Amino acid sequence: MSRNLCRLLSYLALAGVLAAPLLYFYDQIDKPAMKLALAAATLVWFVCGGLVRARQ
Amino acid sequence: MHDRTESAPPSTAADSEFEREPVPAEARVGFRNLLGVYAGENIAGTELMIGPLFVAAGVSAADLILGLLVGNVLAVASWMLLTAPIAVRARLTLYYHLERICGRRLVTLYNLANGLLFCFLAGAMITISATAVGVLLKFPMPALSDTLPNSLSWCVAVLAVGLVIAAVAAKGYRFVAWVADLAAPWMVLVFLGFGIVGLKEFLHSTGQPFRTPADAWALFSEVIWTGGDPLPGKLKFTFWHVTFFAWFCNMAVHVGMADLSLLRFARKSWYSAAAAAGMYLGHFMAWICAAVLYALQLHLDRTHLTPLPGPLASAACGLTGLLCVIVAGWTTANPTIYRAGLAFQAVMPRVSRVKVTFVTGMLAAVAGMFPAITMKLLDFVALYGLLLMPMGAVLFMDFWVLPRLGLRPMIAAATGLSWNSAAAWAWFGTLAACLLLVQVAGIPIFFVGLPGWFIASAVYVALSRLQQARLSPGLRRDTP
Repeated sequence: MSRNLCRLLSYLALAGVLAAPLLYFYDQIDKPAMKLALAAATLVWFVCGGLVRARQ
Repeated sequence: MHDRTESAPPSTAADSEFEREPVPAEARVGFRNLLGVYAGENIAGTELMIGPLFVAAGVSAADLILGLLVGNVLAVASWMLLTAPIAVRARLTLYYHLERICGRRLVTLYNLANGLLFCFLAGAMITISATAVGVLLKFPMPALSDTLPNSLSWCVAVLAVGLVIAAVAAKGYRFVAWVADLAAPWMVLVFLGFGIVGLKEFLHSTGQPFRTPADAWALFSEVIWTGGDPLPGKLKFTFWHVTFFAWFCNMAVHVGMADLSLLRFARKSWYSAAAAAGMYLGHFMAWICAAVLYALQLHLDRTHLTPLPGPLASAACGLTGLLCVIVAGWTTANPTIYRAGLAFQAVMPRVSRVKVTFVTGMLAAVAGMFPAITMKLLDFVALYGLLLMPMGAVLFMDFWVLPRLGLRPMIAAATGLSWNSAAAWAWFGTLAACLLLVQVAGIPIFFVGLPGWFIASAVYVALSRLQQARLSPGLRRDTP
């Protein structure tokens, strides 16, 4: 269950890494918000992705 | 740049990796495995430098995009037509295959050259990681024209980064490989993010529209890659320069055959087409995105010429960009140092691998203190491929042509030669001829690999014929 949740979160984080610059490009967020979103998505990717891979 | 290097020498290799025997059927892998390996390994720290250096060379948009498309097709074709057919037939590592052709002593020299080149390449990766540390600690960083270290704080930072990388390479290689695997998809997207953010900033500063393909092309060709004169001290790049650079920047692994060690695991020869994933993610998308960031820097300030990956990435994506620079440099410097250490260990088999790897890492760090390698990375990468390429031509001719001429392939294995002078002359003679082409004829180093391959092939076949005529009694004795 928790592994599946981690996997889902890691995929969402990866999507976030792509989405943040795109949202900035289309003027939906400003640059500081984009940098913050990227940093958050990166943290989630390394924590959740790391947990998923560590258990494999 | 490709961060994979030649396999371990036999003294340190695990038997399970089939270092001295053909890969058996049950150990072979499918297309998807190779796709993952190539896609993951071709986004390296050096991409952050290569893209900007194209801009510094005054490349135009059409030359860059078409040159990269064509050059990468030629690179993939080299894997598919030169490397993979031999890999799936012989299923041996380059090291073991060459040992059977060239003999133990000549292969040891080849390994030493390999190790030294990888040391310098790892040094460039350490330099790139140190530029990210420079953003955080705010110490002065080298300029585009610098060849020597420009401050004590820069030297200390590079040595510190190198110390960490060397220690991890010596002790924790598996952990780094694990982090590299985890970071690979994230890095691809962060590189894409660099490009998207760079484009947005261009649109913001120029006010140009970006609604149709024509708008996009106008931005690319009139603002970002305008062509024109290169920056001072840089060679002007045309379509041909970009094509040959993209084709030959991995020359050591396709034409030079280092990827025999990977592709011997492929079930079928055509699986080598997986290299296209690495080429078009790392050597197309990543180079273009990194180039956009540097072009933006020049657009905003024509006096700010130095392409420093750390500040470029930080300006675009903040902390995530900095982390990407550090991770890209670290995860690619580590395997390079590790394998350079293994190559050196073949020369000094009694010294422990941990010690050799650590010293190799520190050597790389010392090399990284000198910005000349990084600031002239395009030339260094071309030189690195060129130095190792002739042995790939030797192996190709030995496998396909010598048997058709009635000559014995793998002569060292057949006769016990420890120094195959035909292969040695093909190697050194080709390098001398290429040096002449560069120094006397003034041909840029990016172009001499192609004639060099034909020179190495011709010299090896001609000298093998002479050599085998002389050794024929011994050959008959060894031939079953």
